[in-house]
Amino acid sequence: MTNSDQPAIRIKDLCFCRGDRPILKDISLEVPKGALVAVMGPSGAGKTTLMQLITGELMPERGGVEVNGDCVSELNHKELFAYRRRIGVLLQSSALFTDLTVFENVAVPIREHTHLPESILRRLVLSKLEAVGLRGAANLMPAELSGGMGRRVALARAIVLDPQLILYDEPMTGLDPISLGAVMRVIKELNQTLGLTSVVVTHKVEEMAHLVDYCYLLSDTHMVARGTPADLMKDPSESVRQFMNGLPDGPVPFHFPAPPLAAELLA
Amino acid sequence: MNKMIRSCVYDPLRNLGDGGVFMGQVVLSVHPGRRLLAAVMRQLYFIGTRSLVIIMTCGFFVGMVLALQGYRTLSTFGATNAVGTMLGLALYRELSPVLTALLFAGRAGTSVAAEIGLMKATDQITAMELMAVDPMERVVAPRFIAGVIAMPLLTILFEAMALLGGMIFAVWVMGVDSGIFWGNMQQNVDFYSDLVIGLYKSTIFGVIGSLIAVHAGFRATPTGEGIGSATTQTVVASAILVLMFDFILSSFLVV
Repeated sequence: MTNSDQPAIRIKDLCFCRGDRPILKDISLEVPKGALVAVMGPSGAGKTTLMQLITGELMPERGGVEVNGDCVSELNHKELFAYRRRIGVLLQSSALFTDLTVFENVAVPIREHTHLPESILRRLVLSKLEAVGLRGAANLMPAELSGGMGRRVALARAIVLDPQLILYDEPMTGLDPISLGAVMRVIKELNQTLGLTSVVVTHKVEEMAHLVDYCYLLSDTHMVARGTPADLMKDPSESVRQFMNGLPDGPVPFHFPAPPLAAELLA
Repeated sequence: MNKMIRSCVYDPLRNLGDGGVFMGQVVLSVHPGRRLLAAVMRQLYFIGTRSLVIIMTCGFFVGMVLALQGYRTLSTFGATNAVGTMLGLALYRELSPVLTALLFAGRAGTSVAAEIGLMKATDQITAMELMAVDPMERVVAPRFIAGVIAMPLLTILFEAMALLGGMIFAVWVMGVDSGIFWGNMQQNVDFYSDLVIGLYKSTIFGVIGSLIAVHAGFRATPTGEGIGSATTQTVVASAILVLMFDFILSSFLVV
């Protein structure tokens, strides 16, 4: 029933608030199938919130998120779980199950959702681990892995059931240059060889520029810019300039709002 | 004044209600099958078998001290032959279920609460939900079921060790005749109205203790402080509720 021209993700006029505080206002975007896009913005701009709205963890106040034709906010509990089986999510903390080996961690979705025999399961798990370059680490425990390796194992686990869409929450944060290169290579390869629609939430400007086809910039509850990395580098708007060039002061101020200094010191 | 009412009345009541709803969710999430059985067996090892050392050691010493104090008191009435009866009655009906429940809360309850709390703090529960795996079914239910099964079993072992300790003290140290010790106990302690009633109680304490442990862990705030507070809450709430229910059950079950 899916139209091949239908975008993988369509978000229209999305609004979300936490209590009285608006987090996202009138966000609209479309991610075509097979694209590799980045959602960027300063800390607290609502990038992770946007991701949680796509996975169905949060409900929007207004507007909707459509993924491959399904309106996420209208799914009931059972449909939501079926939907989540079709998407992969890589969390910032990897969230590997600490009492299972690497092999068992990657095997969890297969054991839970299918009745495949052990021999096929084994081949599936090992081939996914091979795709991320960690087939040799299959018998290690998560505590024995470095940060970058842990993230790659979590990635293997996220793709083990061949999802249609994968969401990465800050996959490049906290990694050394070598691990960073490894993770970026895997993200790019998965997108190209499997045609996996990928959305990367990140704030690493330079790495993003080498990785993605298209980019959305969120700041202060709005989407302030969208375009290819080259377009964003050339964008003259102040918020975009501040973010892309890493300027400490600008539309996002350096000083947290406070009463005047003289008044406070001399009181 | 408002704050006091809130913390002494409103919050505990709200926790109690939340706990009840939580238990309903846990029970409804259970799908009997081979996977659940394997998970329960695994948890039975961690919760039950790993508690054996503390339960059996404490049981032994409780039996010995009970025999010691009992002998002293009974000797003022010249009734030292009734030491066996006294041990049996006190242990089967009250001491074993309650003490096992309290020791269980301290050892297994805190361990379960901390484990679940830590899984929450490291996003493992979120990861499960995002993989369309129900954390209630996979993480919480096996631990709850294992706790309920383990409690009466541990109670029996506690009683056995306590009787052994009591016998060693009364017969070998104080010189009560072994035949009189056991014969007196056999005559006056009834299987159904003493031992089995004690096991009913301990099963109910198992439900209470396990529920409190998994609930505290699942609702813990995902910080170091939150997990510490969850383990404290487990022990305190278990102790209060177990002793409260001990009185309520005893008044209903006294035959």
